[in-house]
Amino acid sequence: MSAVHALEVRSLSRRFGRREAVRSLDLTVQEGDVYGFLGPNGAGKTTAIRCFLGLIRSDAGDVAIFGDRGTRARRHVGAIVETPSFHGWLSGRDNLRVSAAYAGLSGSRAEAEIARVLDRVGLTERAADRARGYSLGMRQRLAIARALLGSPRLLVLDEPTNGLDPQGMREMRDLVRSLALHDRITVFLSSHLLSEVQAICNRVGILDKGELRAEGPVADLLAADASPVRIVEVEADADALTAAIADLPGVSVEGPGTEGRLRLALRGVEVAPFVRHVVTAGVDLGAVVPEKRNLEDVFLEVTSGAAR
Amino acid sequence: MTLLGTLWLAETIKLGTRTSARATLVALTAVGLFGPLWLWFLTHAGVEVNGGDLGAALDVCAANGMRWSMIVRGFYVSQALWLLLASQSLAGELQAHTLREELLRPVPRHYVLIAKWAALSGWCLLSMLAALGAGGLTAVLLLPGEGAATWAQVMQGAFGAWIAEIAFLAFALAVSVATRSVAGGVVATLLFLMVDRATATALWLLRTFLEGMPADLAPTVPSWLTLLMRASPVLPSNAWSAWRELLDGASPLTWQAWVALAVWTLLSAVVAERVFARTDVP
Repeated sequence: MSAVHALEVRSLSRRFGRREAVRSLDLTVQEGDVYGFLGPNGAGKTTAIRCFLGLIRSDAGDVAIFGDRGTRARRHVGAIVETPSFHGWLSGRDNLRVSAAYAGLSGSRAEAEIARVLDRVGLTERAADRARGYSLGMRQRLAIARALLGSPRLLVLDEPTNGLDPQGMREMRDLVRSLALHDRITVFLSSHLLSEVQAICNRVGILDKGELRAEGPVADLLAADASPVRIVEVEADADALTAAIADLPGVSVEGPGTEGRLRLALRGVEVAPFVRHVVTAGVDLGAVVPEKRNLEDVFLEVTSGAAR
Repeated sequence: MTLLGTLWLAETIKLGTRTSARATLVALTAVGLFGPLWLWFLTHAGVEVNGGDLGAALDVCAANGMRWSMIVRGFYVSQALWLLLASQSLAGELQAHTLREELLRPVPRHYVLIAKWAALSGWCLLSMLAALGAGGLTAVLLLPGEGAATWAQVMQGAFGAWIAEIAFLAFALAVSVATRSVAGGVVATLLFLMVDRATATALWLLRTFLEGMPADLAPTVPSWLTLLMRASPVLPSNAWSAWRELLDGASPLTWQAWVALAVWTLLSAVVAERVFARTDVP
């Protein structure tokens, strides 16, 4: 018997005229995952998310959320798609009342749920204010509160930090992390901010030109370094170091690094033989710091590889 | 409460807090006051027509004052206001992306349409009751005495007008779904109403002309033309005006117009449901 996944997408396709926005997309999100959905602008991320959520029809394929399909599937989901919209003339609380009704909640159950989600996002004190007077950060928090109505098991967030200032971005990141950790909600997060995704997500999928180019645990993707070039930052006398590596093939100076270090590229040369060579040449080394591969490197590798 | 009931309540709250919906309520209540006030004014203004007092020629009674209000309300006033509200309620929310947030919930799309239509119908009923209450009270105070028009006719007419207006709301929602734009929906419906009214007028002129023909020429009228003339009651504008017969106490009623009202409404509902089910929500 196959396990029930939080989100299971099989052969999903959607075409707009001649352009194939999503091409035979297969994707699996396990329960408990914080899944990062990455891709350059126009890769088809939002189209795919809209298909998952039933906002637009797919031309082919199947989407199951906790084993359910169609309208039933949306019982398990809370979502923010792009910039959230509100009825500006209604208060934050009244906006949530309307959404609670659409989530099938009424009466005291709805009021209790609204109080819970407002408290969860820290908006209780401003709940009576009209939504049109909310700042961008407050609107995002209200959108999260709305998405949390009905205690969804899967939270789909499409660019939740768009337009937020650094403080707002940090608040949003902490909130998402806390929802995953403490509320045990599976999170599907689409974002341009790769550092953010790397910090929050345990698994990622990279979409490009409508196709999933890479998918897997973040740790695995970072470990799978296919590049023959290794970047290191070296703390030493710049002239002595440059002279020492002059006769070492595959090593070149890339430029200044952080904290006054020199940034070197090692092509086909391991760090240990490089250090041995430099020390033997009489250079005093303060530090050798290998630059860690991050999600941005993986992302650029995957998407530029596809471009080639 | 059932899901549909909860949705209706939510849509009613939304509608009731909308400035345009409140303005519609005020405007239609004012229209309710218009008939009695205008009849009272004409009665007391001492206006002479063809050497006689106009007031003496009018059916001066409270029921007739209210009847006048109903006629003004029915002359595109209510249709224009409902068209705007229906467009705002659906196309407006699609354009503002607020409908997207609601469609993210586990609600079948046709439930959303039904809830919006039911909320607008309730608002329409409220406006009718407000107009009847305010206009009726004014009429009773300003225009005492009996006349040819009766309150039974007014009440039947008001009920019929409400049915016709909620039927029109279904049509306006269907247009709104199809155009997905407030301006587009309003313009498309106004154009439709103009074409429809022009067709009805052309058919009326044709009938008047043919009925006035000398008897010896009558057999030369082709049968399809006679059939076309008979189509007049089933035109949407005439179907939406079918309630006027109730207000005027006509008997027997033109049943074709009422059947057409039901058919147009059903057709509107089916079109709205089919199109909305296939609409990609931005």
